[in-house]
Amino acid sequence: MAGTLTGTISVIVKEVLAIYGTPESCSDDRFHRVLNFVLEQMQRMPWLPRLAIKILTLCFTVSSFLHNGFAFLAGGSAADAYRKRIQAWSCSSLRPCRDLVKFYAAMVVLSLYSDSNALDREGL
Amino acid sequence: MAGENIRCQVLVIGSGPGGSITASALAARGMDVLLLEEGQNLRNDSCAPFSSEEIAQKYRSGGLNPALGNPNIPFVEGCCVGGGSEINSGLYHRTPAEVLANWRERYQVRDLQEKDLEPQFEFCEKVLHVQLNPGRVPAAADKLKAGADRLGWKSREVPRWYEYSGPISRERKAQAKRQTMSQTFVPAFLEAGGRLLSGIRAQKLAWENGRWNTIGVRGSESVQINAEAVFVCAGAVQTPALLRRSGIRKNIGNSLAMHPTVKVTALFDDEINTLEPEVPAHQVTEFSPRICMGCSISSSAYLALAMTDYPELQQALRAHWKQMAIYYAMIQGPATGMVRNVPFSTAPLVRYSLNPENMRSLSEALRNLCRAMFAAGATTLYPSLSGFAPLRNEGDLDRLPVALSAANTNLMTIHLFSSCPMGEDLNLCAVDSFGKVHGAEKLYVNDASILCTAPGVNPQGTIMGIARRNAMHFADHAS
Repeated sequence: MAGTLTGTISVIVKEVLAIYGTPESCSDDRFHRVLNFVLEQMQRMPWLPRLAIKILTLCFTVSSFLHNGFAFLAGGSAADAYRKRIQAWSCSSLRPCRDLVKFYAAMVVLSLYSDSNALDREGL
Repeated sequence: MAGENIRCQVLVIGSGPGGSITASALAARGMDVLLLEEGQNLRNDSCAPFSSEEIAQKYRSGGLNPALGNPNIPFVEGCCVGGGSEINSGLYHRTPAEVLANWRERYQVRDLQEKDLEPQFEFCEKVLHVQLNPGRVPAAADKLKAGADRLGWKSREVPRWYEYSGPISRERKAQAKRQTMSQTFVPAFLEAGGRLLSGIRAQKLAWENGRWNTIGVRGSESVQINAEAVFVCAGAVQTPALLRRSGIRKNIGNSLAMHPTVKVTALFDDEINTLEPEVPAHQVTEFSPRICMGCSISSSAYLALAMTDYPELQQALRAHWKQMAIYYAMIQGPATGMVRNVPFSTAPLVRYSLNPENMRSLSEALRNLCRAMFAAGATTLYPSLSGFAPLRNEGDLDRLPVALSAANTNLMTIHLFSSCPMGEDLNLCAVDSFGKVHGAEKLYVNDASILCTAPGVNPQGTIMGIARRNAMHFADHAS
């Protein structure tokens, strides 16, 4: 279960990074830095909201699976499937779905742009 | 599980503005004071201000605390020596006279005239070097002032607790050092002989044999502190949580108030942003204290965060950040919040509700802020509303709803108070006019919790002034 959750978070972070960053900001090194920050932040959260985020993330996995079946688990097509689900959840009529995407977007952006001059730096 | 036992005359729990000032004032009067802080004792330069490192080091729960309601409102609290003063923007106001009058009348707070607080404010202002920025004012602040001037609205630069050095002129940015508690009142407390223990969380208080026994935890180690008197100064959320865990519940944690805040990112034709983490300290006071508008820090992270409601505009953000800045409007929120402990959790549950009238006030605040921004020459405004198209001219303001919808409004706050209001009205108040908990011996609250209602201005000045007043009252009557 923990592996599924971390795997899902990892893919969500990668896709959110692609939305809010540039191709340069999706480098392996930066991706791992951002992912670590997101996972650490989740550890710092009070347990109740953390549990809510975890449950919603698992719901996101299940929803992606239901929409895309086993193709969703296979290599390159998974990224596309996740991206579509992220877009669908970000404008969902259900607030918890939107809040989940917003949470990951906020964490990714905070880490990505933490350096005060990040917007001025080439590649961001 | 080794246990440590410590004795002192006065224990102060929490080293934020309320706790540091209380501890410092009592130590200066010759009392044996122990100051207990849950967070770490960090150097002022341990991380860049307003960075993700600062969030990790100095914010409680990584800054991820929600007040549950409709809508949920995220809030942040400091968790380090110095508390909230280490992470806020340092804007200083004395308590507005009409707010004090309301507290005297409705909550029956004694001796709370402006003249009673004057010496306390003066003392704090001197220690913290409260002053206007003598250097160049950030361009984002000039924009807000220009917008207010064009609309004929009152606005002002707000003083801050900063010490300025180097060549000073209005043409250049002055070198500034934030005068947080860890730089001012905590060192003064230590010099006066006080003891500071950081990294210890107070779990519970118990009244035993005429003294307070506080059970604390440092990692897996328990610490017991035995004191004649205890001041709880852990902030508007942690203070009621600790008191309730200790079985003290009358009017505790039932009336949390805050300043719900809505933000707008403004795009101008000219360059106004240097990405420096400086605080533009101008505020529009035309509608104060009901509504207050001002400028936010517009660093890379904050600007990108403010624009997460507009994912399709990330490229535009990278292209035009020099022309963008964040502004806020906050309202005096009602005292409808509750703080409760949750079994098996160290984090209390916080609930806060806004009624339709509050959502109308927020819409009015947002509309006024947008008007000021357009008057200042903004070409596009991005309010923090999910799924809302950017506003491109004043006519677009008609698209703003009369009352903001909980479904798509993204609020936040950094100002929380009133969870243990002071006063002599036993139906409303948790503590008396000087912070003593009603019905308890030698137990005091002296932080943001005792402010009776939302003051409508940045609250740290009020917290400090009242904390010092109460500490002096305690010292005067201790014998």
